[in-house]
Amino acid sequence: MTRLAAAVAAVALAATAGAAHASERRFALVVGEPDGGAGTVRLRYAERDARRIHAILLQVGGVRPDDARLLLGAGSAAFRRALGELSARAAAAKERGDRTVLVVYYSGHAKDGALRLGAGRLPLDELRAALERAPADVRIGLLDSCRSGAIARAKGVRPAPAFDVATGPGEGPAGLVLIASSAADEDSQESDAVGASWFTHHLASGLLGGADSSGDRRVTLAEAYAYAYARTVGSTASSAGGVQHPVFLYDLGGTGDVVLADLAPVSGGLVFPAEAEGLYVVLDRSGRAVAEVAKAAGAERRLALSPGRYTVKKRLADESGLLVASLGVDSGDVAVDDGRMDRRPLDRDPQKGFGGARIALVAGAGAQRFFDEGARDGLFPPASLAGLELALRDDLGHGLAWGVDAALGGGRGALKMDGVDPIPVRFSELAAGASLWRDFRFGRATLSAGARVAFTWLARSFPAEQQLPSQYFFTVTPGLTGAAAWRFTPALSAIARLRLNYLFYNVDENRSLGFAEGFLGVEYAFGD
Amino acid sequence: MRSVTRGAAALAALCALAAGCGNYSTEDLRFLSALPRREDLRVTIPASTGAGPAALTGLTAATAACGSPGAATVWQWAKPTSDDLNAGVSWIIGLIDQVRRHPPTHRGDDSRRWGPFDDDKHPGHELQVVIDRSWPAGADGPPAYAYRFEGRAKGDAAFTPLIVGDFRGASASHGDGDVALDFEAFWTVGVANPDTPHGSMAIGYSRSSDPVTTDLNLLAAPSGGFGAAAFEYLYSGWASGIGAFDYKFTNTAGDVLEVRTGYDAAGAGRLRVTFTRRADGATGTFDQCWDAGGCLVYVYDPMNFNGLTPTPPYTAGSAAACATLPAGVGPF
Repeated sequence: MTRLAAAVAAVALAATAGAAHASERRFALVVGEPDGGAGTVRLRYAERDARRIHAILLQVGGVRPDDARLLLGAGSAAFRRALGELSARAAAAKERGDRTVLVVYYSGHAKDGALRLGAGRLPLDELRAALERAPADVRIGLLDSCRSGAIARAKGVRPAPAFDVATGPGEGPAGLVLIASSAADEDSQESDAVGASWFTHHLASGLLGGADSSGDRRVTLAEAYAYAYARTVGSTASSAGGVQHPVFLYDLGGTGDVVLADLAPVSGGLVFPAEAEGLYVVLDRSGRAVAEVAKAAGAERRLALSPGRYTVKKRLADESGLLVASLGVDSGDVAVDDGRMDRRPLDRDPQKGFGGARIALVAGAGAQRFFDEGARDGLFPPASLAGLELALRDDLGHGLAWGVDAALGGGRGALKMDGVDPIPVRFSELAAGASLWRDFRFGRATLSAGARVAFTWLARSFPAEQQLPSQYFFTVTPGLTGAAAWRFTPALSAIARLRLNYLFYNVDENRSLGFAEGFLGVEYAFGD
Repeated sequence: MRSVTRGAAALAALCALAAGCGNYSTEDLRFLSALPRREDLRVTIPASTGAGPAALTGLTAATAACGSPGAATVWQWAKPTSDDLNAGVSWIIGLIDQVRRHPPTHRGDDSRRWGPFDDDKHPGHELQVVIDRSWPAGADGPPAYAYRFEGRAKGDAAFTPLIVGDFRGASASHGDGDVALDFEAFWTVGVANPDTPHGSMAIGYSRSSDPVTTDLNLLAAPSGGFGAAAFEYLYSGWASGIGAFDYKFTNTAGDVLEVRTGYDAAGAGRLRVTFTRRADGATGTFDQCWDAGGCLVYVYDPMNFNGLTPTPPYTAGSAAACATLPAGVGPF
């Protein structure tokens, strides 16, 4: 029964869509250009958008690596050259009898009717003309740039939530499709929250499966556009930049829709069951959104993902909190089950950097130095230190961390007293402290500031004056702690820590002393 | 015991929270720097004095190493004499070093006190050490320290001074000091050991200029103490290696010899002996000079104390062969 059903489904799929098949060659030119030249602000995510779309087209878009070109900040000449080259390759493939699809994606600035590639320009009319005459059976232009809707102005433009494509037996579709991220008079917006432009973020989410409203594990051009349109409008509706309406132009003949992404060959992914409902955001290990799934109850939705560990969050409809789950994707499908997700307060949003409490071990080496010269010469000389710190990040709230630390060190110096020859000193220090601090994350960088209290034990002996007694002093030293860390991998960071401590010395006299401890070290974060 | 441990831990915790704890005191070290160290009082004699008493078979004799008129055996007495004195210094410093090993019991702006402690070697007795500091030349001048080691039988009201000293300067290696030991007080209080001498001993030392000097006065000790004769021993050592040492000893015949020496950096020197012969009570002097190898190069013995000639005076070698010493160093 199961085999029969599968066979029926396969036949039905083959009949209803011009899916990528063995005789179809797909070519892709993906361009990310953050620099729009004079009068423009450098875009933060244009290159990342391009890399993301390039990866998706290779993963689920049916494009072979040899047939894809990724240009990052390469300029207009490289754009033209690559487009010409891929057009020629498409022509050659077509001559061999293959059906061909050419996809051109651009993320960057556009102004005054032209794409702005650094100092260079590529008029929209030129691009459209190039796509119109390209020899591929289907040419798809995806433009994520301000006022990019101008490219579709001539004919067929339809700023609408979806378009219909005739389906039926016969030859596959042929012609031109242009999709732009915003209308001719609108800006396209980037979002720090998702680390991408809104349009590309939703387009990518849709291609990975978020747009597969039919549940057939294929994302068609119509599905992708409908999803990207709805999500982009929704995301920008309340933004300061104004609502952003993606637009499209289609000039397709033939029959059937164009399948932009085929999820079936990708074995790993997340599956949102039929009863799941709501907006799910999938974050990678660095906390960046890789996909969103805006799902209504009724059909299963599958999101194709590369192997790895992901955090899935869902904002509860009543705004009372979040559901969060950490899921590992390998070679199979992993179900997203609301009932097995952890409920969290809104301020512990993993998308805003809260990854849950994480234990981290820091090992470092550094030095100690008292600020007062008299104290350095007569009491506590500078010392080298080696230390360990165990930190629990985000344990007390988003960005709030606490930790315990210990440091051991020492040094050699000379005790200087008036009228007395300097006495060689061997100095040692042991400190154990507890800290509470707040982390401020800026991408891979994290700055921290907080307070610390430590138990500090200081001792000295006089190796050249054996008759002099060894001396020690211990006290509680409150202070401030700060750090700057740079994350190389989700688990490994380099960290520079500075502590400013207060010490009340009261043996010879009552003195308030300050000293600094600086460390350079490595932090290893356990867990996910 | 458990409650004591808990109490100590609680006290330490309270101490650490309220303020710092410990003996980390640079001022303590300043006070301790005023106490003499072994090297501050040590008498250092050149190697040319030989092996000591075992080599002393006579006052002057030809040896295999030295031809006529023989080895400088009087000079060779300097070493065992200095050893006796240094043994006494070690005994004193041993007492003083006890103080260095412990933090003071009481700290004042210009005073430190250690004790009273039970004297483990003499049950029923206790000791304390007090160091007071003053500023005779004003706050910017060098300080002066006065210290005293005191003992008493438990229950007694007052402490009896055993060792009293004073010091002027920032540290013992750069100042002048005096130490007086009242050995009789050790016996009276009951903290003397079997090897504690009787009488008293006074030591003066100066490390503030060249030469450094040590003056050990054992005149008040009936038998001198520490194996040395009752005498005022004077030692001076220059940075250049030149030195002078006045000492006293009794030879195997019972004759008493008081010796004034001066020597150069190589160990060659001059001496003049004032003797009292046991046999007839006769007194007199004789002079000797020796080279760096400890062999006599000149002898002038007007009373033939050494019995080397049938007809005095006895003269051997030439005074011109004597080591050249700066004016004021040595007996002649």
